[in-house]
Amino acid sequence: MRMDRQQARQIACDALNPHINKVLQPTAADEQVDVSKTLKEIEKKNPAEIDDIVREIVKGSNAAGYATSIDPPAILRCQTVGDLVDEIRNSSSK
Amino acid sequence: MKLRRIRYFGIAVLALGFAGVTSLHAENEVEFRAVTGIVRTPPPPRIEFRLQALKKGKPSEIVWDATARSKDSYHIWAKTKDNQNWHEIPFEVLQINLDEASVAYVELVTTAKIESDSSYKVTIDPNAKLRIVGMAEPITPKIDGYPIKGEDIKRDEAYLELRNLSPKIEILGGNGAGNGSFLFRFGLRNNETDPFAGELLAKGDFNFTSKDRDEYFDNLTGQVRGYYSSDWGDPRSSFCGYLQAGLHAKVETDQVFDNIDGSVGVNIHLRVKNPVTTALHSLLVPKINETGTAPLFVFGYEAVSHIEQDGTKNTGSQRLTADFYWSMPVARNIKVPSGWGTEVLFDTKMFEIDFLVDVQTVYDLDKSKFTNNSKLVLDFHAHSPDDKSPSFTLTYARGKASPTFEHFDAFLAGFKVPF
Repeated sequence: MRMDRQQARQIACDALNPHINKVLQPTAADEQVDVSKTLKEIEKKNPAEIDDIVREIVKGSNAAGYATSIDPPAILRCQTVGDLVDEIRNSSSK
Repeated sequence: MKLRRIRYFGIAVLALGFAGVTSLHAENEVEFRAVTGIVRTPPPPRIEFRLQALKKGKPSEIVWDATARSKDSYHIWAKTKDNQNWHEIPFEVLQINLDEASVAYVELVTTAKIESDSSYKVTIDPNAKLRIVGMAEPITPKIDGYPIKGEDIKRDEAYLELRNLSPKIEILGGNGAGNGSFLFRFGLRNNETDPFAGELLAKGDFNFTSKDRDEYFDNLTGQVRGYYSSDWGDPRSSFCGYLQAGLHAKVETDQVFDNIDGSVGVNIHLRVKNPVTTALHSLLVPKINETGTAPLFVFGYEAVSHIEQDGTKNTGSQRLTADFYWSMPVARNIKVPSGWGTEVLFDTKMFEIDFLVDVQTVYDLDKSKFTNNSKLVLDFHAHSPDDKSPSFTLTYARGKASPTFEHFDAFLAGFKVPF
């Protein structure tokens, strides 16, 4: 079963928020926010932070009862928060 | 309602295997944004088609007709090594997810494996209709045949192997002959969810002629580092962040190997989200729709062994270090006039400017001496979806850098190629 979108939004925001200059909310409006440049910049200065984002997503998904197989390249492909939400949903299964 | 004057244009929405196309229903200010791409996780790899309607730039609710829910409304075409004509290929519908208010997802799995030396495209049948809430007439979004290139699939696969290299090469001109700068990284980790990990790093700042090496940072570094990482604070608040605590061993030398320092030490990487830089992020570009990075601090202690040292240096064998990195958006959507050739070189006329701050400080515990060096950079680059566009840089660099601790002060113009 696919993860509920609102749950995926919350997991994406919780994973991204410690690394960014914006307080993301799990709303449809914030799904439009561009994270592509930010993720590339984080990877340049401290690539392990991308792994940390993956780890937080896996942790959040597990807490919601889902197994997740998302990886750093999938994170770096994301243009917007919405894309990350999609990646989380696509890579999760009950 | 007049929907006849419809304009289509393609934009690359996502790099590395994903691409998008937008159709604009100009009179109603309704825009359809579609993304087709390969979704790899979990297996099997499948083609996903995602459609969003935006009215006046905001997500708008789509109501799908029964036609859009049918498998018959979608077609996948392929050009393979053996058959260079577009031909329809069989597929299964993994999911048609129309339960979202503003975004629809259709996942299609080809029966055959997706190959990197083949090209694919998805088309929607003209009979597939949908409605936008508030509009009477149904619309067929003519997102038609946007291709997924085999090259993109290849690039995606190559990137999987190289993801931990975040290299750059930069050439800077200013005082003396040209200067160069580079950075390479390689991550060491059992699996992506392991908080314990390692990293190999090589970086350098140097002058192309050794006689002018005191005109720029004169430093080549190789480092191995192991660390534990974790988030800290409440991620829903405006004060939280990320922490890495580790051990490192490194060798630093000048470019002619007159001064070589070997060191071991402890270090803490601290990403600190805070209300000040969060506010500054949108100070010069108030409507910015990017998140930006919170500032990164790196604190360390190093025990230093002078493998080689010329007689003039006399530096101690214990150091405290503190580095600070941040970047601030200065301008977005700068339109360069036609005729400057940027369309040919960068495929766009839209440019952006960022202000980058790199400050590094060293406190010599034995000599009770404080030194610092800083790079303040204005970075002009073309807007690109994958942020791999080359940059023109204006750098003010000053200070003393290990291992030579020679003072310099330079204003440099440069060209940076991230890849």
